[in-house]
Amino acid sequence: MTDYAAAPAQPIVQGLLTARNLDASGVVTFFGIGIVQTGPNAPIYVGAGHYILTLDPGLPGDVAIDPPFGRFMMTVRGPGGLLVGTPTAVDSKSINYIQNPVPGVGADKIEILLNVDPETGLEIVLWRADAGVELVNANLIGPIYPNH
Amino acid sequence: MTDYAAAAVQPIVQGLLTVASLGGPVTFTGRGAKLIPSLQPSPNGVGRDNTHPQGVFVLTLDVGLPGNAGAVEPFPNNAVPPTLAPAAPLPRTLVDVRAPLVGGPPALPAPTTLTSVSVAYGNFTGPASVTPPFDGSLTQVMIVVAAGAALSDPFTPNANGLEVIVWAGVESP
Repeated sequence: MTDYAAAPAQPIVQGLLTARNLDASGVVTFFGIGIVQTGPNAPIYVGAGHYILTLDPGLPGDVAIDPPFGRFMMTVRGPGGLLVGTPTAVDSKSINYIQNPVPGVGADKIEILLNVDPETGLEIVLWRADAGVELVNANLIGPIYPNH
Repeated sequence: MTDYAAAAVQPIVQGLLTVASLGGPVTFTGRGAKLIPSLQPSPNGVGRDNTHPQGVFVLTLDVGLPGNAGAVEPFPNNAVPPTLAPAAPLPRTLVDVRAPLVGGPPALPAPTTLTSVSVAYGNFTGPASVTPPFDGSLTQVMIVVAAGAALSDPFTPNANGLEVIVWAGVESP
């Protein structure tokens, strides 16, 4: 396979998030890999469309990510069943990286903010990308053959 | 290259979905899937679910790779508790809207009016001769786009097509 990517997309988190708030005690669940799913760091339902997820310790969740390197994708799964084909009410999606208070750790939690809960679910993918020139790439910038 | 990915992103479907006009014929340029046929005399129904004149598109995954029909497995409906057992837990779809070209000449790109974009997986429509026999797998992807609550095609002044990528994720460990 030809490898010409500017930066490979190697997700450290990917899965399907579902949220329910049937009795005003919202529940958010994550089905996938890279996010803590149980215990004190299980996904938190902050409010409608607002969730906090904790990255898995170790790979692939990688404990934490330096926010400038974070790349995130989310796709709404709209209404299903008899309502399939109905537009989703989600028209605002954004991501925030929550820094660990310990200096140098980075962000070990991610915060998803939608205007409402997704009807069926939310597909999410998080990967680490390049955030500008790194030292490892420094020699690739500028003249390749400076002595010629 | 360090390989620490939770799951590689290896698309089984990728392409560009466009319409010739609002409510007009649909075209999918890409690989891994095809538009559903029309149940109407008009070609405008190709790729549509025959219920919604705009904003709803259904792609049938190709048989075999790269579409890999059957890769979308449903979760049992009677799983308990249901919040821990989402249907079709594995597919991932990226839909990006291409900006509409308005005004002019020359027409210039403008912000899209499509504020609502979502996907669904299932066996939705199509004649039995085209829809593969139900074997427990989900063979179709539905893409729904709307301006607010109004289903709207990705055509001027709403947009200028949809870029679509589908791949398979992984299950919880």
